[in-house]
Amino acid sequence: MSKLFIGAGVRTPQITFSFEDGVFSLEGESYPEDVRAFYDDPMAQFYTWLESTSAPLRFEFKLVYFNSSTAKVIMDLMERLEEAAGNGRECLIQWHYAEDDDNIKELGEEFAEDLVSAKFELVEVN
Amino acid sequence: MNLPVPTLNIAEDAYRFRGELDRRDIISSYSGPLTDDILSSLGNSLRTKMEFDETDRKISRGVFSALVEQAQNIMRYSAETQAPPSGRDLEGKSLEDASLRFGMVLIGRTENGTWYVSCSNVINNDVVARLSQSISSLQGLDRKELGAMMKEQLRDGPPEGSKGAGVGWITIAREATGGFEFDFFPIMGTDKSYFTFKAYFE
Repeated sequence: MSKLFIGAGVRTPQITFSFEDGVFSLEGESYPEDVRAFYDDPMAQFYTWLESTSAPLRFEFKLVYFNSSTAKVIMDLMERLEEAAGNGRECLIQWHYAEDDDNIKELGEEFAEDLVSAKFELVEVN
Repeated sequence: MNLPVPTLNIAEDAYRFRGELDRRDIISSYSGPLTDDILSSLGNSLRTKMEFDETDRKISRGVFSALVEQAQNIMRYSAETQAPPSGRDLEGKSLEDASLRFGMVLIGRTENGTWYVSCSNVINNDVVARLSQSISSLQGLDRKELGAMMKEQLRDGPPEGSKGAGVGWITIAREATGGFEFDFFPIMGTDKSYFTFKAYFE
């Protein structure tokens, strides 16, 4: 389990989980009708890694659009990252947004409101 | 050879039908079984059109998002369904999930330039009150209030009977810069109603 890569689909993002480097990313669009069918397996792999290791990690959100069902997946993920950070783990969350996309930026800021221990960075992309 | 004289010019009929769509400011329309692929195709062709129109990016993102949320509602909750024939391999899905769900999607732009996304589907009468109440509760809330509500709902988990995250309507309400409206129409002689939700973007 050194790397998990899932190429982008029409309605699903590219997933790149580099377990060895502790760098994880979701990139592109996410609006599958059945989010669980898409996310359950990769997220389970991530959570297994999260619980069985203690290395610093960076999670990059590079989503240009996601639907409300995906928002739930992100919310759960943020909570797990915050929990890990609260237990002393180094967690950096990077939230990418296009410079003219206030909506994605705002959503990131809202998710960040609940983060105390995890470090959150907004990254503007041109 | 004597061919039968057609009673109706089918091109004229189609042209008049098309004219009716124009009269209602409809740019894209779909009525029938809704699937993820239909949604993506409708959405992507609209995005291209809005890009060619040089539509404000904020508006085109809002229209796309409302289309996704509303179309996925139809795919999850429309009471007009068709189950696969018995004996068919359901590929691990429940009969309910493998069934087709029907609805209508209309996307258009009014004369003054306001974009709208209107979706309709049949629902059972027993969900009308609950649906009406939950959408009404979003009327008049500002972005910040809707954002707080969304997070609370995401944290609490979906309400009973929800197949998504339970925040679809909040998402649309948040992005519909020109507001939204909805209504129900009882279908005579049945225990069903027709439901329409229309979101505006300006």
